[in-house]
Amino acid sequence: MSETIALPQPHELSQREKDDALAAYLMNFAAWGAGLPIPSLNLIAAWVYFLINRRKNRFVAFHCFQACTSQIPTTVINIVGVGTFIDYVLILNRDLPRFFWPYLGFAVVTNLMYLASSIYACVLAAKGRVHYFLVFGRWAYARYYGPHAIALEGGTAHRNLPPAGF
Amino acid sequence: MRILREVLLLLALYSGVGLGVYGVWRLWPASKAEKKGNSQEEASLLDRAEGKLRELLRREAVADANDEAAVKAGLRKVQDRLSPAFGALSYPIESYVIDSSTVNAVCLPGNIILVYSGLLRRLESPEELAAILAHEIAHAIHRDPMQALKRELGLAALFAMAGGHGDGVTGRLMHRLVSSGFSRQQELAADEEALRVLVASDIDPKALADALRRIRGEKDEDPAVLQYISTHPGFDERVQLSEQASANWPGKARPLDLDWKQFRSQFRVLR
Repeated sequence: MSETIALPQPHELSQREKDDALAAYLMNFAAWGAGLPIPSLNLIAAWVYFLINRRKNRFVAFHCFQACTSQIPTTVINIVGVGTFIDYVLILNRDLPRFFWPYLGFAVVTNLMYLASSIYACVLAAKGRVHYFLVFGRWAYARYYGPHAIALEGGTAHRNLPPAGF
Repeated sequence: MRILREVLLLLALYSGVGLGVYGVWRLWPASKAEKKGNSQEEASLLDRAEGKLRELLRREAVADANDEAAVKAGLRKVQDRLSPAFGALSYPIESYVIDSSTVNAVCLPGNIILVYSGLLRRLESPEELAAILAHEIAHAIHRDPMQALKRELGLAALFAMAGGHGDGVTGRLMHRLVSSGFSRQQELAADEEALRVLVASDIDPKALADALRRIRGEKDEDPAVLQYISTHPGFDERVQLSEQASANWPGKARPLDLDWKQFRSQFRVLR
């Protein structure tokens, strides 16, 4: 097992840290909240929030990174859908292609799944707990608590170790 | 390796959702809805292709049309007599006389009708011209030109053709329509519609039989006539249909106010 940094426990976190972590997931609904059909706006909002908070606190940075990266798939799906709509209806002035309707259904279902996951992660973050998204949770953990984080902090080569035999 | 497993799991999740939604969409009362969507999409594509072809044809195919005022006025007069009977169409009918030895009349996409002077020279009255025009207008009502082109070229090729910039497109289309014509069923359906239009316009439906007989003349082997007969199949049946309609017609013919001799004298020297 690789060396890792210990995860903070809920009682070790301040309310401010929990609120900041919670807010990272709320950024995912920025465009939805504004009622705008701009699929990349959520990603931009989450990314900006991540840039602001990435050096503040490891726990908050972890949640910001996970909230930001985990929405990449749904953002890509939404961009394709909105792009197709704009291309066909607004630019080419043509009827929507036949595949658009099942694709729209696919986009709606994946967005709802992501919305449910985000709300769940949001609630857990508010309690100082951690929810790992598939792939992106592992990626975020590796980045903030795994060997990568240890290397960034100075790595094992610079750690003071007790004399041999102790 | 766990990350790889999660990546695969995520992909499987999205694929599963995608396939599930697609399956629901396919199984929805949708086989019907899809067919309806297909036909709507196809009709919409055909409409747009027809609009573009009409523009192309008006720019190019009718450039050589006879522009004598008397010819245009005469044609207009006959068309105006018929128009109340055929009602509103997707595009207004535009008919032109082309000075040519060709014995034919053709309905093009976009409701453009070309009548060749080779055919007109064979006719003996404006009523016969009305019968020929009514027949071609019936093709426009049934949208036969677009259906024929769709059948021969396919919708995609037709749309691509319509999207061209006129480089040879009109020539190819004209050749297709003039050389292939329509099916026997389409011709008979067009005649039935034409006879209805003639009756509604107070023109003896026998004018169609007269026109057809004059077009054929006495020499069946005339290549020019053969072209008309080959592109307008069911010749004898059509004559019979027209005579039958005339026999059953209780109405009284109202003559068309057009000096036929003067009208015909306006055609240019045949090419």
